Amino acid sequence: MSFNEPADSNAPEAVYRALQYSYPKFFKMDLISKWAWLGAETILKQSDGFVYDGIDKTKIALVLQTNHGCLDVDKKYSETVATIASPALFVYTLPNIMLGEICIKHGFKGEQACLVSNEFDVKEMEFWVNDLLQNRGMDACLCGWVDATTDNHDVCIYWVTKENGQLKFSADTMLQLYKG
Amino acid sequence: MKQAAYIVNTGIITAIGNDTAACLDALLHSRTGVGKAEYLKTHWSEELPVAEVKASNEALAAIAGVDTKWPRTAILSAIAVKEAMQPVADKLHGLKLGFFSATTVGGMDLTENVYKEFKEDSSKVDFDNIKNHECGAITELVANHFGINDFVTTISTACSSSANSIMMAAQMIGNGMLDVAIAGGADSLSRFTLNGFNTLMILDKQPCQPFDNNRRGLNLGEGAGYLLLMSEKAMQQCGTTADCKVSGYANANDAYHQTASSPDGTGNKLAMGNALKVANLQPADINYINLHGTGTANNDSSEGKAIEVLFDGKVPAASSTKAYTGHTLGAAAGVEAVFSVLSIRHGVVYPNLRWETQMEDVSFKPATELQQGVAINHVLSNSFGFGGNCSSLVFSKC
Repeated sequence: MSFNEPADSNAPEAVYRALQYSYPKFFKMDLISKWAWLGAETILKQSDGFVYDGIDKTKIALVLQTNHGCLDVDKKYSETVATIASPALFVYTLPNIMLGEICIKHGFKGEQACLVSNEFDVKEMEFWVNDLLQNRGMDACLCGWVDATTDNHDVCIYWVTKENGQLKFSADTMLQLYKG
Repeated sequence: MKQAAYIVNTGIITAIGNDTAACLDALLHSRTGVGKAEYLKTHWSEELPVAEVKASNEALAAIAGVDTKWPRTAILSAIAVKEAMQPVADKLHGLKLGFFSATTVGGMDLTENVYKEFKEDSSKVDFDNIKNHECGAITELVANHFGINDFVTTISTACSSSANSIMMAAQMIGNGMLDVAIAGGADSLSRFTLNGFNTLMILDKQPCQPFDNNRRGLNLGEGAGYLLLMSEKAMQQCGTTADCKVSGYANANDAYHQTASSPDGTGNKLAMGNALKVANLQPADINYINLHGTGTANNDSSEGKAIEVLFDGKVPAASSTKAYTGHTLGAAAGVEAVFSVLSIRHGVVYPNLRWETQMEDVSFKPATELQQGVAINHVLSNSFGFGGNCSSLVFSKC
């Protein structure tokens, strides 16, 4: 997926408004959570419901990879420490919070992992997702790459299920879609 | 049919005592451990009271018989594990023994010093001090010291960590995967946790007042608490008996906020209700609730409301013991499991220290006077952590 909407900018708020979502908590989130939340929302929401409708939410896993993680909010938080340390920023100073925001919105209760790597490591992602679906009792997995700085964002999210789909899940497929 | 996990012994160290007997004595005499930090070096020592174990790492390491260079969490853990294992230490031959240890602080106390030195002069840093930083390293140090290697695991789910370690141990004994388990957790004070909780604005600048309408927050504490759990077969081999067992356990998630409980305590209700189901008990069977009762506005309100709904207004004797020990985070449920066992064993309900004013949004009043000679058959112990991680344990008289 991509955000090739009229407002494909580096401001997640602009994308949020262009897509006409309504989730006030979005504005409290840190930069990476906003992009992850938008990525999930865009791929999961369908005209008549959600792509996961009918799947047991305790069997929906979530694996995201990032490079910068929550560095943006880490810096902002650390600036507030000199005066009054901000609790609102502090609670976002872990990269895996972006997974929590997606789970809270969609009610996912399966296995989760947040991986940090220099770039999107599709082989690593293939291993984790296959393991979750084949050996850990999961029926579906939202996975992908979410990276953001104030100047740039790079988001690529996939929805993988055990059902036969148009594309077979693999590192190569992920890479083609990411580069494409 | 699942086997029962019997509680054969306990081990504990907190600000109110270095072993089970000393902690019980403090609970029976309303002696708090909350006061000024003496060993934790912090900018906040005059402003933020803590429940500190009043001894240096060297003195504590001498009690445990371990290396003084261990992180403080590992030293506290070793003291409590030593006490828990002591009666059966030489009788466990041939039994499958597991160690389930929870921590959230890990080796952070030593890492903080490295960080400070590194910023000042990186050439003078002793990097050996960060090798036991991660939570699992603490468990490994202690497991290796006591020669436990059949099954060793670390659980770090914030304030419910050691409830989850006791739950996992009871399940593994229940399914015949282990014969003996030492389960609980340990956490030392650190500047990292003190500043983190201070950032969240949930620390009380005075000694905390759980379940009081005018509560202002929590006091951090440190310590370790473990249960020695055994199957019936293991008890026979060791020639020992038990007076209570882990009868119920459950974990649920609020899925509401990073650090806050949902206003009506959704996860809290689920955890308590499911733990009662596992124990095959009705709410009316519970004689005492050891509350999570941190003293924060949010926790006590959510927990109180969830209890009122679950117990349909007929709430048994309930108190928080965090006014004595502070909130020992990853150790809290281990510490409070020991207190729950002592409540059953000695027929006591501990007073909720410093309680003055009835909460406006919760109608039940915590126990404020020591009750002795009470028949306590079933205790419910709550532990609710950040990330919405809610766990409840039920302990029952055999």
